[in-house]
Amino acid sequence: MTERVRVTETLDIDLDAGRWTCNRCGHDVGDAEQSYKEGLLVAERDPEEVHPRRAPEDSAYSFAPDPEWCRVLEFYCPGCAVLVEVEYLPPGHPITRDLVFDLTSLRAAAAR
Amino acid sequence: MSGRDLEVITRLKPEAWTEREQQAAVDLDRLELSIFSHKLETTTVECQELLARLGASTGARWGDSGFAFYTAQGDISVCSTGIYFHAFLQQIPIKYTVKHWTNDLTVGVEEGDAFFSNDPLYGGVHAPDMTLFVPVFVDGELIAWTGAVIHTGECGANVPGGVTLQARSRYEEGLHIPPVKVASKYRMREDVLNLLANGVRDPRLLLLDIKARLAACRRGEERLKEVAAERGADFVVGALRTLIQDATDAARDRIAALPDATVRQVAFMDTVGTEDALIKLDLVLTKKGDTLHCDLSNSSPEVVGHPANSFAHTIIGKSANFLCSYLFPDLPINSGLSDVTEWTFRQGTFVSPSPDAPISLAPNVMATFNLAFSMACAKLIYSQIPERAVAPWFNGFNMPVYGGLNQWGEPVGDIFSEINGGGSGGRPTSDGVNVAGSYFATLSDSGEVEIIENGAPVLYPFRSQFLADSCGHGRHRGGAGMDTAYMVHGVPWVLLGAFGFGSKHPVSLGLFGGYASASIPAVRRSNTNLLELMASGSASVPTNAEELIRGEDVTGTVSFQSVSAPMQPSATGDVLMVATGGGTGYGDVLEREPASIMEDVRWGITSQWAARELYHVVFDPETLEADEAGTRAARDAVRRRRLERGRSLAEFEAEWNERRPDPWVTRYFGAWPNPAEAELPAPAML
Repeated sequence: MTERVRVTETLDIDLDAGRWTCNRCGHDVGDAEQSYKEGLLVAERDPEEVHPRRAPEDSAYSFAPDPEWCRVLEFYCPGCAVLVEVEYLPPGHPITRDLVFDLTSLRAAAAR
Repeated sequence: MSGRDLEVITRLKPEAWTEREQQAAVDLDRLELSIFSHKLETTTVECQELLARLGASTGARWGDSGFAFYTAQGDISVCSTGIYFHAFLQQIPIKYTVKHWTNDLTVGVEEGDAFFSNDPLYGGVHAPDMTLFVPVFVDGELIAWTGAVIHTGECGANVPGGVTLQARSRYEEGLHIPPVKVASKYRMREDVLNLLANGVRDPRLLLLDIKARLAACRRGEERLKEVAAERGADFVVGALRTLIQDATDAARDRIAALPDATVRQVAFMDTVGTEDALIKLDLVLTKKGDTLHCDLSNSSPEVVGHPANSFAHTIIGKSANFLCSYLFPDLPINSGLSDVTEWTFRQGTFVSPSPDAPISLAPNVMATFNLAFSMACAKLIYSQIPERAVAPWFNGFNMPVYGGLNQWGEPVGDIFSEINGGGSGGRPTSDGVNVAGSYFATLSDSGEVEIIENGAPVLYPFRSQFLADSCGHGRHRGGAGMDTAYMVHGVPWVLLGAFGFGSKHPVSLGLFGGYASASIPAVRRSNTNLLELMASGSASVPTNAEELIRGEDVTGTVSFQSVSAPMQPSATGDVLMVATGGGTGYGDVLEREPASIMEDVRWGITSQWAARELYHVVFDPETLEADEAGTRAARDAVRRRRLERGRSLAEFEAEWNERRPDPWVTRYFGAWPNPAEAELPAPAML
């Protein structure tokens, strides 16, 4: 029985194996010393697929993000396709390696 | 003394204990300390209520204000939670006064004095944030200070209303008053008040707010002297300092219990004031031991000639929002909490600009930081305290502004109070709260329409609806924002504009797979016949933005603008719509219960489009009943599409990293994509 700590809504860290794990389907998402995004699938979406446009086509403002300024990146679990993370980035802006735990410290915190 | 003091603005953390404080705290009884703390907390609420009752500005009446007790050295010990960031900031003008005026023979600090300040360099956020504070003496000894801050929405800038999008330097942002004595021997100095009133368009607003602050400070002074008379000055001195130390110690324990981690979050502003442009705030949050370290050095350069900058100390002050709301909600709110944070700024960036930089849009910059800090902290704390890992509230500071002559012929200039009606973020176990309030001003209120209409030259066509899809969607959606419009009424014309950001690039991002809230623009419909429609009892009178934009019986032309909308003359019947945004989403939309989604559609919180295209619910558009089996099948198909279109990170980045936005969009961004990789331009004085 390995010890898992739930660290986000959909991701656990297996403290014994040092691995990210999807807590919806158990899929191994990769080395917990690295970004969990390394083990997910990523897809780009036009923001108007996610936010309804409420202005004429020629309007520069519409209640939706401007597709020239902003793209929506979705990160899915390769096992069950749950949406783990969403990033709104200008096109081409580097994807953020947002969360890296010190596993020794995480084990100590879990023990408390 | 003359000239600027850039040392005092670095002293946000508690000063070291003085020998006097240490001796006073030796025999402090913990039970008596608890009673003292409760009495002062109650008094701060009483004093903030005085600000609301006596003040004239929107900020005073609807709670964009704060009140606090300070040690003799100027550290906040007990404060109302009116505005969290002022809890970290307002000690600067007092420390300035202690440092410069206490031993100055021409000024001095004596019983019965009062001091005023509104210079953002010394602790305000921007010039409308004005503070007044008074020393508390017992038997000739300075034992404490009381202080009150209000956003007084007219400060003599180059446009009315206190918030200027057009400022090129601080010298176009109105009054900048470093701490100055405005009362002595318990009498106000009329010559100084006259000087201040002479610099603004709405002297009544300025003077009434100053007197409200003074009344609150005097009430606090009176209450503190009651305690000193009963328990002695030693008790007060020791107790005020001990409460700060208690907060520091408890905050360090709380941080130490979290796992060490590094969390990164980028956030973008899409306006520099009068121009759309992308600038970046890059946060690296490192939690180690009992300290949170924030590194913002890879942020965009100072925006020269535009007011999209914020001094570093106001950014630090903004960290109080998440800390007080979610990480330390059970701890005393005082400057001791700031002791757990360490900061790295790169001088010359828009989060640490030159002293001459224009900073009117500092609230936007601070909100951008708040977004990044809230996201990073939520990810940091989830493993230990998941219930507090909340998706961000609406962050946009959507703030309509007006100025001119009102229906009584009086000069007016101020903000509207709907800024305090944003939605809160989705939570791990529930949705955000609709029109929850303001994430930064917990005792604020979005105001009474009739009271506002009585003083401002506008009529509200509607302010009772949720704005559909204003929230971020998710397993738990954000709370909806408020749909609001302002029609010029009772005057030939008035200046109307708005202040905010996020119309091009989202300002409020979702958490753990949740989506951002809407990119809300300002919408104008000019030369309408709304008043005639209302007078005739027409059924065509619009009740929400959608009907006002598309209403065929409503005359006039519609235009969509950035919510960062410079003030412009607006005539009777012209309408400005500036909605308050919703909170952001939490978790995967496909995990939201179909019945909840259809309930949201009935309430106008979620559109049928979003129910169908985003949540992938199969439903009857007439009855709004969901087809459970059909929805399961539709969502399974969506999951299959996700797996089909998803690529590995390496494969995706090989193509993605070759792209970039149009250079015009990033003209203020600095080096793409990492501003830290280039030298910063020299600051310019305009």
